[in-house]
Amino acid sequence: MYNLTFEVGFFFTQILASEGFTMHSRARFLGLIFVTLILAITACGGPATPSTSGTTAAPVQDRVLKVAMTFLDEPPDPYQAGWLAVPTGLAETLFRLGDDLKPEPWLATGATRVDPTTWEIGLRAGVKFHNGAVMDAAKVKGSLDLALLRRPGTRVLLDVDRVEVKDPSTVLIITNAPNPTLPGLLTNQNTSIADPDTVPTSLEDSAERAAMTGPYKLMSFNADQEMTVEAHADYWQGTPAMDRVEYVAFTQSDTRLIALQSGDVDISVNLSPQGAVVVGNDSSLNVRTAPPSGMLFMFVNHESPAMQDPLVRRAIAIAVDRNAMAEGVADGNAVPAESLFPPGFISCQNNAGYSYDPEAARQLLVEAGYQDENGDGIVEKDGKALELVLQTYPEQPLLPPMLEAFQSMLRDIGVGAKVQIVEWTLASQGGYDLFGYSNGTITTGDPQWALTRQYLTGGDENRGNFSNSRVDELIGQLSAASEPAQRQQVACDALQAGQEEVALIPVMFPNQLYGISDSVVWTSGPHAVQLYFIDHLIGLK
Amino acid sequence: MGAYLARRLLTLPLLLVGISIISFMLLNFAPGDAAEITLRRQNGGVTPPREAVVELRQELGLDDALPIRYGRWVSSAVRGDLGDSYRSGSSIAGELARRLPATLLLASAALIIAVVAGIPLGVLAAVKRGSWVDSVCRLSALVGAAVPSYVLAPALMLLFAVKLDWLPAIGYGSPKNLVLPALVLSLGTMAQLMRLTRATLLDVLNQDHIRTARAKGLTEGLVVWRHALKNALLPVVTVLGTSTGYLLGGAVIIETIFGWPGVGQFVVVGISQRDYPVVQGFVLYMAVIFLVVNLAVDISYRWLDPRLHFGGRFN
Repeated sequence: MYNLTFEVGFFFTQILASEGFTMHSRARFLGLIFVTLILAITACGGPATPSTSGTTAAPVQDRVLKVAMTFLDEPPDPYQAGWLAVPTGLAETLFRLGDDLKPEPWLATGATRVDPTTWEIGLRAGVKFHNGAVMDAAKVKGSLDLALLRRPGTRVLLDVDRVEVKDPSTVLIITNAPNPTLPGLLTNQNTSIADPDTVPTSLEDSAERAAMTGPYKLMSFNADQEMTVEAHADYWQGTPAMDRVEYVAFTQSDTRLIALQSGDVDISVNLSPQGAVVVGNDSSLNVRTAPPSGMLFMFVNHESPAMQDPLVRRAIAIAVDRNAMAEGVADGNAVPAESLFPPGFISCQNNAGYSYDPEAARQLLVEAGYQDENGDGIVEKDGKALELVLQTYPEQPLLPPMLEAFQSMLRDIGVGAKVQIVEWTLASQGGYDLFGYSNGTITTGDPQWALTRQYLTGGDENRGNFSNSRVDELIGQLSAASEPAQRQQVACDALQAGQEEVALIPVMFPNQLYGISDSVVWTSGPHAVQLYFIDHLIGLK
Repeated sequence: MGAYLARRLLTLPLLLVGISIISFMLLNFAPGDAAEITLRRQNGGVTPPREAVVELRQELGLDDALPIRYGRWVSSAVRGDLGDSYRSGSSIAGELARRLPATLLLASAALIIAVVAGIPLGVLAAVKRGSWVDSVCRLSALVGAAVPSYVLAPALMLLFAVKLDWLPAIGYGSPKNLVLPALVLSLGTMAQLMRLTRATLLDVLNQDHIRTARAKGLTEGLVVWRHALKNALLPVVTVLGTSTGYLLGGAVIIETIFGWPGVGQFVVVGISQRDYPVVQGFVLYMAVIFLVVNLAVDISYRWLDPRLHFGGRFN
């Protein structure tokens, strides 16, 4: 090969150096080289071979479901990228959130709190990993140990001291501090169970090839391109409906929509509300709506001078027409949010929300000392106009229009506002009065998780630096409470106390929208929690 | 020529160092915490505990001083190691190499379409100057250059994949999959080539040697294709060079819309996730491409027109 290249190069050099090689000849020659190069590059640029493909081509009669996802940029490692491994049917956790958003056994059969720091977890019999090995207590302990070892976030989340094998079908999980909500925490996707003997020993190597327990097992994965899974014949809940599921990824919701319309895929996840309208108008396609699990809301910057007065915060909270937000901004694909939790998650008798009342909002501003003295439509106090800075980020497409609507509603009560689109992590860095944000509040199935993160002084998700001693005390009581009725009452009290202080301003719970072709049979879904997407039942007619 | 080449080659490393320092600093000042973004993503959109963010920041060395981080990056880069992605942990050099064939394929196809259509249309517009053909060509060029690809791409996908069902909307691996992304990608360059060819050809057609050729009785075709076009193509080489650079950098928007697994899509996700090593590696990759392409364009000038001189001295 080297000799041939050398000979060709020498030949071309001779031509170029020859006296008869004029300017026009050179132009022609360069053109020839250009075309040759292009053809060579084109020939070289063939389809990339799957990097992790390990099986031969499937028979033609295979039943294949094609799904357009948003991301496929990380290998489906059960400990690092459970957000991909669980919804694609590869991995399962010990517990999952049920339709009522409460934790329920999945690979486990149940959990008993032996003492304040010890949980006894019973394991389901007859579960086999993708490699045929049987799941038992030793395997589960090994898997949980690896989950804790391989990911700092999981260590912090679970705060587990150690995992012990009690007998072949029971593990004991000992926590560093009393933890009444451990089963809920074990719904976390990065606590997925895999056969520890198939996980690479090096922490640097991804574990996506580990044997997991889900209805499908990994065939191939090419980052940002495709992922193919095939049926796990020994799946513990029965034979999966499809032979294979093929995933492709498009970050653009419009592309996912067009792929569905053109028949290139059978299911598109995360449709935009506008995309759902298009799908709804197509007789061969259907929209499936999952109940909401995430919330769109406004962080209140409790260190901003304008937000110090609770009357002003309350005025802003009740100036928001949440029905108009849900209907206008989300095209009806959202539920108005007057509390931290979606309807049905927690039942509180004493919980008063923020009903839309612009007249009362104006009155609250008057009580706070604000008047429109110069007649420009914006209220002032001590000669200073009440002008707010609203910030949000563009990755959640409903947030920017939500802030524009918010701006307009504030204007109606005499509050000026300017909207800034920024990076989402700036929500922790002040520089705003209100910050539009999106977050899940039902993760783990227990209200303590969101209350601790959103309302507690110094909480992980308390980005507006809300701090209230009464709320902190109630959340402390919640951590210590174990009896369900008592926990619910304390949680409701903490929720109410936080709302009275307007710790943050809930706006709406957007529905999750799936576009499916009419050949798809999906009796089991969609689930409120997007994590539970592909199961053994979903298939084609 | 030799001295000029040597001088250019010697300045390449200096330019690369300068570019890498600037980009490293810019990325450092960009808002956003890579550790927090990475963990939130891994948590399924839920913000991670602060302790986990702190631990990951330490693990990634994000708390180290800027010069230390830059020095660490440069010492690896000169050995061909551009570091690992924060998100996936995969080698960035490996990822760029793995995705390069897809980008090369798309860029090559787009370049062929742009050249094959753009230059002849430019010639046609020049020859038919003032006619309806010229107007149509110029209007098409205006539309091609003005309509953003993120508008054109979904429109063509809807037309050819959904309405007419002639081509697949998505996918990679077959010639059919290449048609739409290559076509959309080529339109900007095609319009640019067409307008430039038309303008330079009109200029050449008014020169003395063309009048002489016509006076000698040569046919209009011979005058245009043999005598005028060759002299008009020199500026086109410049445009082709820069276009090649942009195309090889990965048609970021096109690759994202069509889900094309090239370097452009890789870097878009990297940017949105504050995956600094990916962005830094991509900047270096682009810098190399543009420096090499510019050098190649300069050298091709010399070959195409020996009257041109380099560095202030006639060769």
